Amino acid sequence: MSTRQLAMVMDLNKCIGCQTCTVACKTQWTNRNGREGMYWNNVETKPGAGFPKKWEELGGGFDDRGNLKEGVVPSRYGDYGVPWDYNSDEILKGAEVHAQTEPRVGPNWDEDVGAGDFPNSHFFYLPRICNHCSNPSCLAACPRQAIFKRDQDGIVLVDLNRCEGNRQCIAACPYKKIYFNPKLSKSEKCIFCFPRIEQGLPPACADQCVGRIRFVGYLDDENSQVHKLVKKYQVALGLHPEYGTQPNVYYVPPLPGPRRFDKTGKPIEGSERIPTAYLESLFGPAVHDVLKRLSAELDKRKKGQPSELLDLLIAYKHQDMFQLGKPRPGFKLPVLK
Amino acid sequence: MRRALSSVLVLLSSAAWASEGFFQSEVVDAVAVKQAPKGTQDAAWSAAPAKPFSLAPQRTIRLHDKQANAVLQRAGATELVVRAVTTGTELALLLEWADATQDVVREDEVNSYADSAAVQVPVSFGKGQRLPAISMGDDEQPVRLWLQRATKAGSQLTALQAAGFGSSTRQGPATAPQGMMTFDANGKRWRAQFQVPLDAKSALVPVSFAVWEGGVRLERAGNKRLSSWRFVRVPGRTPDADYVASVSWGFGPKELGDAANGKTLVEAICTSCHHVPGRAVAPEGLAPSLVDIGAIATPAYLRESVVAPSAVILFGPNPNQHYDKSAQRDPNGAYPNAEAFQWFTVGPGGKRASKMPSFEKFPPEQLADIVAFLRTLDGRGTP
Repeated sequence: MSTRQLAMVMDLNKCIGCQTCTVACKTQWTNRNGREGMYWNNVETKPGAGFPKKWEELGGGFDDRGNLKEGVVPSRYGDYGVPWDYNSDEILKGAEVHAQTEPRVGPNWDEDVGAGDFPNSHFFYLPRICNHCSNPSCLAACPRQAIFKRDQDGIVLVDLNRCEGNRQCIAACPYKKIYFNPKLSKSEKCIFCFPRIEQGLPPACADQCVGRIRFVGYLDDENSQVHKLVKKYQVALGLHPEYGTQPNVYYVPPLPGPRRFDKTGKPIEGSERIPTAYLESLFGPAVHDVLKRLSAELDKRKKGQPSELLDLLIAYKHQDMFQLGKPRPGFKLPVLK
Repeated sequence: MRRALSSVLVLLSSAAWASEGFFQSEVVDAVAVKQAPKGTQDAAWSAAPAKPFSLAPQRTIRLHDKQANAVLQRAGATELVVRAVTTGTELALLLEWADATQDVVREDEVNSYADSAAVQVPVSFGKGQRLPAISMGDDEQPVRLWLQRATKAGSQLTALQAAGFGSSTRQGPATAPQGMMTFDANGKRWRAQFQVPLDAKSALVPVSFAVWEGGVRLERAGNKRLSSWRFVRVPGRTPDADYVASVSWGFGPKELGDAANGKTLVEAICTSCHHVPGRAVAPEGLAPSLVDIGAIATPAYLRESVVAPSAVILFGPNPNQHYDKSAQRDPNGAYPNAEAFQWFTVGPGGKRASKMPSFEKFPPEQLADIVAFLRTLDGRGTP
């Protein structure tokens, strides 16, 4: 559908759930003009309901024969949550802290809840942006063909001049990563920071990631770390491949973690804290081989042998994680004073 | 007196004789007024005759809101009452329909939809011209549209132009429409007034109507209820007899055949691609669904569609809705679109042709039977 494809790889073993990416995106794009309730980037806790609430149960995507499926448009009050403020001014005068609208649901509502009972509880963080899919279902659902995929990098964008706010895209996106702006009556989504990309800069979420979990580059660029992780070492997988949209955000799955404990508090040999079956439900059956490959590389390092893959994942130099080609001619990085 | 005389002359002409049924069911008579009505409660409206038209839910193509589609399955026909008055340079239309809830544009919710109404008029019409495709025109016959969305204070008005499904484009302030919507909370009825320009000559103006119920039906975009092409007769002007004959085909006696035989034929021949009530065996989206076709297509259009399918090319819904899993993926993993779901082919020089075979050589009686059956699919009998 596009000549080239930009992609992002996120190493879930390194995400600490600090939400710096969320804030970077929000201050860059969505803290104004009817976008307040949108999170083009969010970090959710898995297992968990996520954002919007239970988005994995809302349908959309393509069936196994390649036909677009129907889906549900979430509600602001029930599924996304209404942004709330606290009575900060009154607190200084001695009032008790309370939210100005009653919080019922929000973008990280079940943060750190996870699954399992102590001492075998577990969770990990899953940062999510638009997947800039190779077969985008939002694009397919638009009755006005207002959504397009850029040829030069595969970024999926909404033509706001054509958008009439019909929200078929929101129903059809299985990741619920396209949002309705009720003030403008248009649908809006993550734009992969294309104005930054055009200047050779990574998206704000990736640039500000303190855990250095995000790699950005073109899938066909053999020198890019994205290419190496996705194609060469094959340790990064799309989220919910069964949705049939061919997502272009790839995840290095979390390693199983420490062993589970039995009733007497002894570790159970060969047990998994994060069940691989659960990871398979997120990343498909290929996750088994990926985990094996990662474990084998870890074993190599334990024996003192070199591992290019682990060196990549450590990300000694942040800038090496981004291979975006040369910036537009004449572009100079702005100097902050 | 002169007006009365001209309508007598129309009735006496032979075309009009055959089309009496047409004027009865498809045409609303406009009343001449000096000034355009000032609103939906203007006294001028009480003098205008009320014409009931049936609107059917749009089921020709399927959209992808699961909740809206669930409601659509049990949706039936809606009655729209239309009145028309004219100043001679402008046509004012009053649309009235029942709606249990008043749903307006909201800025605090992201899955609420506003009750809306629209009228559609061909950009050009009259003698020698065919009507545009009902689905917002086609590339040879574009349409003008006026849309109102209910707001707390009244309505948002938009003027658009379109040349096929999904192609509507907002028009600038030069064609700023006038109109208003009011809700009668006691009678649970909407009234919407539209004002559209009228040229100096037209005597029979094709108009079609659509309404959206944003509340429980979650209607917006193509999820709506719409009419076939109907007509407004302008007082004091005589419709061209040939034009009347061309648009009124199928309303005269004995023009349509035996619907029961047509049903047998349609089920045997057409359902390998099309859906009809009780028989939906073809893959969804392979061809326009015919479940409510009788409510939205005129008999003349139905006949033409069977005899000369390429006379009007329907672009169909977004071609990306189906991809071909048997085809080679591109280097980025994308499957190509499934050609089977494209409703037309593109020949040398960009000439488009419908994929439907022509039934030109079919016996005329059987064609009349097929059209007769398709006319019965008016949205009232379907579940």
